[in-house]
Amino acid sequence: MPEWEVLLSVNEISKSFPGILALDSVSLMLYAGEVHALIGANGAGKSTLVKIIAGALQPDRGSITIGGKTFRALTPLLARKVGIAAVYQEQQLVPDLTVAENVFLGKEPKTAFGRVDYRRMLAETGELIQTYGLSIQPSDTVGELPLAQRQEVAILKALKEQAKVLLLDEPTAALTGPQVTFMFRLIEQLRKQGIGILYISHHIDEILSVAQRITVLRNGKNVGTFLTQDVTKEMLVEKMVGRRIAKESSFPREPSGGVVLEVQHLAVDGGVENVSFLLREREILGLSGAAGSGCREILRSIAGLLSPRKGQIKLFGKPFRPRGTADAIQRGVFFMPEDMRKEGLVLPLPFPRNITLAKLQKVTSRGVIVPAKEIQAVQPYIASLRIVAPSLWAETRVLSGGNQRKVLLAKALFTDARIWLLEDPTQGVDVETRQEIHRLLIEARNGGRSILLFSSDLEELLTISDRIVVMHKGTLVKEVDNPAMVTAQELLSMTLGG
Amino acid sequence: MGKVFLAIFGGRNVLVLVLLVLALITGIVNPRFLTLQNALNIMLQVSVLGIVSTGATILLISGGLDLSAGSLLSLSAYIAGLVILRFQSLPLAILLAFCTSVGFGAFNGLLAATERAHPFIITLGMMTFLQGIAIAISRGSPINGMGGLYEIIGIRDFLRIPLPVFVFLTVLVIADIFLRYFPLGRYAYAIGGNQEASRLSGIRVGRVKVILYALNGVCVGIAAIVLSAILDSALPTMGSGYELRAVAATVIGGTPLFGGRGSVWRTLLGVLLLGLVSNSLNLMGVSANLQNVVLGAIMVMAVMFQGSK
Repeated sequence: MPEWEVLLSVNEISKSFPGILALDSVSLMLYAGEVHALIGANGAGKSTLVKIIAGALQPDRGSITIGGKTFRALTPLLARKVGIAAVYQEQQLVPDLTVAENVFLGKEPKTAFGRVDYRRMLAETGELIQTYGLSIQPSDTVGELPLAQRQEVAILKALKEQAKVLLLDEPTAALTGPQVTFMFRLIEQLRKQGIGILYISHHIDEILSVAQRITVLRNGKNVGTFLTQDVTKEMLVEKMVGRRIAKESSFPREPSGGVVLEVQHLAVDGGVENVSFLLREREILGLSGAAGSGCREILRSIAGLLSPRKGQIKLFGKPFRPRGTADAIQRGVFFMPEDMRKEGLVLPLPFPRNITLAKLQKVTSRGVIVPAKEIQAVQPYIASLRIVAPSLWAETRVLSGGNQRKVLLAKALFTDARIWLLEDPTQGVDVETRQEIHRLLIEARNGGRSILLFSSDLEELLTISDRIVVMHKGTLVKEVDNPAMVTAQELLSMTLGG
Repeated sequence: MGKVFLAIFGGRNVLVLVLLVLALITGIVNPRFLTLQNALNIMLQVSVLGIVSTGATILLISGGLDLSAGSLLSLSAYIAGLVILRFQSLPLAILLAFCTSVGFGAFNGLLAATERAHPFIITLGMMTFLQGIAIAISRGSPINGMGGLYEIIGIRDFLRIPLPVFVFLTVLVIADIFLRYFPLGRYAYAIGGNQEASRLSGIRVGRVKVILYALNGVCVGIAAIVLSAILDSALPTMGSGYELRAVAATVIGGTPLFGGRGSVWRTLLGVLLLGLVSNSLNLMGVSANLQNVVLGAIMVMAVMFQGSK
């Protein structure tokens, strides 16, 4: 092992928010040339710690040492000055400017006349792009780039600012297979240059292949920093949740029933051609496909959000052409979007009101909401989904990501819809919550519901689906009748058209 | 008592404190301030603003906004005045006033529901449009002497409380019940908090918006009748400025500009603060121009301290 040079050291940082101690005397060191993974369940304090290092939050106690200087607290500006760059999922890039303009923002080179030297900006950005073998052009408009490439711009910008410490928060969340590989290559390159990378992710497999060291946070405490070669996935999960968790393949299942939804020769603008499949009662039908495969369009046309160009959808044997979501919900079809903060939940509402929102009629009497009835009606859902919240009046906004997901599920349950259309229902939740959601989905299935599940998480599809249909570039390429016999690699190659 | 207070006003005690301190200081400087008569006077002065603000609160909660409320108030009041002048029919006057305010209110809602432009711009245009109509049909001249029921609303009181104050408090209570217990009220919060999620929850967003803007029109119509009753006349520009003061009062009360939260009780506090300040300044003999300076400064400070995020 080479001599490790400490780039950044976090010294006994504590931070509390009203009612919770988010970080409890956490320390960690980041070396030059290492990828240091930070893992933990939802609410373990990862985001808080990253925000403190990036200067977006001020700690209550403790300090941060970087470049030989110790700071009680950083500000975003100070953090950048000392060489810390944060690449969040929602990056602070200016969408209307080009890649080069973003990379040089605030530090534009000037010509002799004091004007911005665009030629030099483009040339230097081009060099940087080439050095790292990226696929973007200096003159691309950032807002028009896909999320994956916007992330590359953010990293370039950090490099341009001579960042020594790079904070990556879920950098692969929006990426598909080959893009993930590419991102890992880029990270490896940066690491070899001596940059220290703090890598936050929920994907333990990913972490095991990319990180040299791993720090586990649990309930705001550092429960250990490990060398990657010394740990296994199971050990890490155990550290994260503080106990062993059961293997999930053991969920019991009732047999499926008759056909409830028939999709026949469906074609949708935006790339779905001649797709047909069936969904049965008590069945989880997995929908697998890469970005652009048309899976999302299929879900959205059944939900009444897109109108199909051709083909027919039959619900319980009758033609089904919903005009809008209100229509679909009335007919017993409920759609749960992936982006719950943007499309799924009303964040300023107290969370019980999100549960009842799609079926308010259930808690009214002669058209008037009865608050006591509403509270009573949501209690069983809160209990059975184990939703944790400070109070029944808590705004949905303050709940952790995993609990927000559960609120969304409770909302689906509350509508009594027979058919659920789900889009990545476990995105961004921790291992334990993920399992809990899987258990709930299978319970809902056994209870007589039919679930059409689109997920970009192949393991998830393979564990909980009864069947899987595979989409590639808008057409259905394969039906998998026995997911238990298929590996994630095989499924991946099917979605890639293999 | 404290608990009830907290429940109603959502813990926004800063504003209540400011109100009390302000009242105390003015009371010490001028003992006339602390009389019942003066308190009723303040309530009477804010009643019209309060009614317009109640409508504005409902819209703001739903992420909407109506800058044409002032012009619409003028137009509705003037049309009622014209009807009284020509036909001497009070019911017809009130009916037409409401047709105007609710009709244009719903029209604002229809435009807003198309999602083609922000309600700020839409209703800004409507503000000029409606003001133009009011001035055109009046040719600039006021109508004096409304008579009939107007005199009753404007002059009479009940248990020494002026009727406009009763009207204001009734509107407030009804709006509160609407927001708390009616699905439409709930949808107002939902749409203001997240329009996309509301749509995906099966709420017919466009339809709800039209109704909410129409309800705002109802408030404007009531305010038009009350104001011309108090003034016993109808002027083609009598409502101008109400739209902005209503938004100011609502935001000062603590209902954020961007929707999803808020209540009409907070707006009551905001309206009272504005009324109290101008009343205190009057009693202290501050000139009208200087009053505006103070009032503006207090608005800014109040909003900053509210920290309405």
